[in-house]
Amino acid sequence: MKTCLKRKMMPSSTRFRQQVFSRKLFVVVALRIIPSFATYLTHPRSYFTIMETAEGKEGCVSGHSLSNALYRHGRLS
Amino acid sequence: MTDQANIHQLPENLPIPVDDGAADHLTGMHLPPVPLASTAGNLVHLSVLEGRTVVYCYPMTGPPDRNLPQGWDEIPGARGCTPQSCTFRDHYAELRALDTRVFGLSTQDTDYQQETAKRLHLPFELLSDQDLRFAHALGMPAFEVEGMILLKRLTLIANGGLIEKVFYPVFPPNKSAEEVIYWLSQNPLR
Repeated sequence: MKTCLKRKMMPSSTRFRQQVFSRKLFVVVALRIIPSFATYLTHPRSYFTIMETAEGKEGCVSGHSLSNALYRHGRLS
Repeated sequence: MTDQANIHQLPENLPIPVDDGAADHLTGMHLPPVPLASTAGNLVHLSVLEGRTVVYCYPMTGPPDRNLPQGWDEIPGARGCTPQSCTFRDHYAELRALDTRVFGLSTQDTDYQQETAKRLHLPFELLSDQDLRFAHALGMPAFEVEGMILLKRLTLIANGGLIEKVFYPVFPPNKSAEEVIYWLSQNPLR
């Protein structure tokens, strides 16, 4: 109730700014999550096991760093 | 776990492959008219390409989600496909400056090769000879591991479809591109 009153008392420009901010936040979070989820769906589980080990130890995430980590783990010829 | 620090290095004490003469007949042969599926999504006809083409043939880069076959490092010449691909990637500009195209060739399928090409950021295409038609037509040396027929590592330099130089065996694989560049610079096209 208190919050509702507070919102009603807010000037419309502040409300608008808050709405824009929360939408932006939603888009940023979505953009961060969707690619990771897509990778999760398209790769076998063991791929992530190696990746997690590499991330934990060396901060590797993808591409060249990932190849280095996989190679070090004896996965690549 | 292996002890090498990065993909440019090879494990120590790898067995050195010896020249068994299995590639002696290749120099002077024409590349067969066999279309090969490429990681770019098209078919490549090596036999009709104008100018110089380097084709480095390798056994297997290794899939990220599976271990290498048992005893892989003990097979002479088997280890080192990733370092070899990386050296061709790193020397790609020099090879292009020498008016040379580069292709990698192996018997894995295109999906497998596309993962490799993407992960290693290869600026050239990998070609798949999954059904071994190209290898059989040339009589290329191969070996079998865990039911897979894999090419022995060798590098061909062709000019207008005619093989003018063969590197066999290739060892160490992480010096392969440098060897090729040296030969190309010593044998410029007239």
